Amino acid sequence: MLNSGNPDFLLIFSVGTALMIFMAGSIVFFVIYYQKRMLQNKMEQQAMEGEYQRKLLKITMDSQEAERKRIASELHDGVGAMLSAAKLNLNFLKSSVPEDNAAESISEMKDIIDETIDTVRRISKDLLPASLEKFGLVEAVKEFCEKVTTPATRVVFEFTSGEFQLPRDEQLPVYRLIQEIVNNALKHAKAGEIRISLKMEQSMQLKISDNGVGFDVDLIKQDIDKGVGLYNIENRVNMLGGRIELTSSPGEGTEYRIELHSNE
Amino acid sequence: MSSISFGTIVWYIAIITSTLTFIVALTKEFSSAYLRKIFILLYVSLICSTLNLYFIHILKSFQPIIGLIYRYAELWVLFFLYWIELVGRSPKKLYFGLLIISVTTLCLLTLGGALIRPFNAAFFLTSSILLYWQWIKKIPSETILRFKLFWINNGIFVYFSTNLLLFLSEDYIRLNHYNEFAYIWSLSNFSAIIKNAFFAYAFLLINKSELNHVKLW
Repeated sequence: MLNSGNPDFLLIFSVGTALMIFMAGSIVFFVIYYQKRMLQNKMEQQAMEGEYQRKLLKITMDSQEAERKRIASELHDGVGAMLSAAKLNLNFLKSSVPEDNAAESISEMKDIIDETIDTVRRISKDLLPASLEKFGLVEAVKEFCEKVTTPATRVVFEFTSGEFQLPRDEQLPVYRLIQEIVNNALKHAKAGEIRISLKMEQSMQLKISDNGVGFDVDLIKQDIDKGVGLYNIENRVNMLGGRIELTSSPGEGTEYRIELHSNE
Repeated sequence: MSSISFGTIVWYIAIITSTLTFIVALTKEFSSAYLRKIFILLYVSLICSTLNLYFIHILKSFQPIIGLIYRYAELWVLFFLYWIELVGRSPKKLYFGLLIISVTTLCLLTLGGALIRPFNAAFFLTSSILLYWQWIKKIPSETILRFKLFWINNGIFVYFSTNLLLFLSEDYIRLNHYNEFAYIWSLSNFSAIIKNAFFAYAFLLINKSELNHVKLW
């Protein structure tokens, strides 16, 4: 068929065009391969950064909890014990002082010391709930609900037990999470009722809802000052490797759904 | 099957694929400027193919001017596609681009209209390689296989890679290998089929999120 003109030209032309097509195909495949590798590296780097951030957050929170524990212990065993000793001495002084005026002053001082002891106990308990260490998360949450319930806002706790066992070292972060969400609701939601539901079935399912004023989630998240509370809650859940869903809109109340799976 | 009939069949297939790609584009709504440019190019290609068919089969005459008009339309459309992607879209840059393309067109017309084919091939091969280079330098946010412009660029790159030598030696082949010319030229139509397939795929990648933007016509 190709029988006229210079046959060498046609050969050169064919080889040249074939080489051009091969080069074009190679470049396209190279771009796809290279870009895929870049994307893979980027995703690996992002995953590593995420893991690093999670570990960093855990270390920060652990050290914060350790510091709280130390302060609580110092307050309870140190300051509390010294105040109790001072009170005993005042009692002794009161019985040995005959003048009415001095006895009255000593009585007032005793009242002040009593109040200080109560305050120290309360601060110590807030910093580290003793019931959490002694009886576990459920009792600590129950106690917390009783403490924060006011005539205006009822805090209700429901617990469903099951096969899921929350590791001991994750109980304090979950307690803090509940504390933060409930405190936020008490501060901002103007709710008549806050309901906490904790289910320990195949996984730990925590639902905290209120019938308060609610808020626009996207709007709050955009506001750095107002969104910091939500950011903290999300961080705590991320640190525990859990999943969080937040539903809220103005006038419709707020609902948090948190799910934690076993790490094993 | 004679070489001419084979070449004609490939030519017909190229026209059909070009028409199909145009139909695919018509069924989509898109806002990207580069897709609009490719749509315009497909539209011009369809008009030129229809005119070519009319002149060859009805009037029994070949009008090379139709092919040249398409090449000049291709030069302008693809020039601005690459200019915007590689240089930018600010008014100052666009005016500068307009000046360059006007001077280039004038030069090509003065030197001889047929130069347009090898010029386009060399120019757009370089432009498409520069665009690949730009993508390689950037850290990607998603796979390049989802980029519509990637498939457009692939089509242009493969088409001009296949045709560069053919366009450079077109006159020589026509003079010295006249009998084989239609057979060899079918290579150009075959690469046009691949180019149209890439363009159609780019249009098919348009998802619903891109709807409700600018309607084209």
